[in-house]
Amino acid sequence: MRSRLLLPTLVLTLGSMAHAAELTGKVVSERKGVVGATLAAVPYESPYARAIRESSGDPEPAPLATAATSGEGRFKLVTPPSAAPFVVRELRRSGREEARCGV
Amino acid sequence: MVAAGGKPVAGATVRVGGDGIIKTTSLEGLFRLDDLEARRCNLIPQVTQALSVSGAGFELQPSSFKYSGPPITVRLKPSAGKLVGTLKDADGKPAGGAVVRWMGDAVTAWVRADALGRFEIAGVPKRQGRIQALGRDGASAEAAVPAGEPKVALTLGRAAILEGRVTQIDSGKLVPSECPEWRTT
Repeated sequence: MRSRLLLPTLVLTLGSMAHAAELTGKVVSERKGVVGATLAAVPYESPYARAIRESSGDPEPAPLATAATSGEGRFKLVTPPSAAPFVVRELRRSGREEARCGV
Repeated sequence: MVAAGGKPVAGATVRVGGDGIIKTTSLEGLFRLDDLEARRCNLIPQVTQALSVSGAGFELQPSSFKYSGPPITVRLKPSAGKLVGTLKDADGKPAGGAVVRWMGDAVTAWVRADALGRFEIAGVPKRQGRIQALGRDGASAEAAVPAGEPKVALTLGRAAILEGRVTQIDSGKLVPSECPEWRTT
């Protein structure tokens, strides 16, 4: 249970400055890589856009891309070059759990 | 989620914190929060977290829970109370499409203003609170609402604009981007 409460940290690197479509990084907890975590690139919503969505009862926007961490907690997210701004979240089995970085 | 007499309330909404996830109760009045964001909700055992519970025809109800704590029962009170008002933009024109909510010991759902800037928030308790509004262009406003006040008028302030350049910390060179400029409000 304790490890579930520790906040993983995302260390991100833009894989390609030209397109920013590939995002690599590492999920760590207590300085150790977290293996098997699922990361998602989720479209960024402004507070107004989020309020409008909530007032309409619409679900959260679908992830643009997802990736699982491999050995040492490393991951690679690949999004379309034309993707709108997004944030990276760690997903748990039944949904989002942690957000650490905006891109 | 139950009403008077223990009758289950279906379709009520449960929000964690001010901007956390929202769940809707089932036909049996049940809800489950199992995909919470640890950071946003500051989930720490033994620490009480705030919930906002609202349902059609009921008063907004604050509640609380503990992470991995026992199931809770929230009892809603019938209410016909509402807060009506108007929203204007910084030019004094109706802020149609803006959204507004009441905030106090709990928060209501966001409500959209009509083309004339009019809005109505149901279930607002007769307690002191604040009203928060967001415009589509980034404008916003917030004001105190005295307990029991049935009507408010609000004017959105203009959004601030922040412009700048993104440079590399070591060389000072501009970071290339497909966007010619960085601009946010």
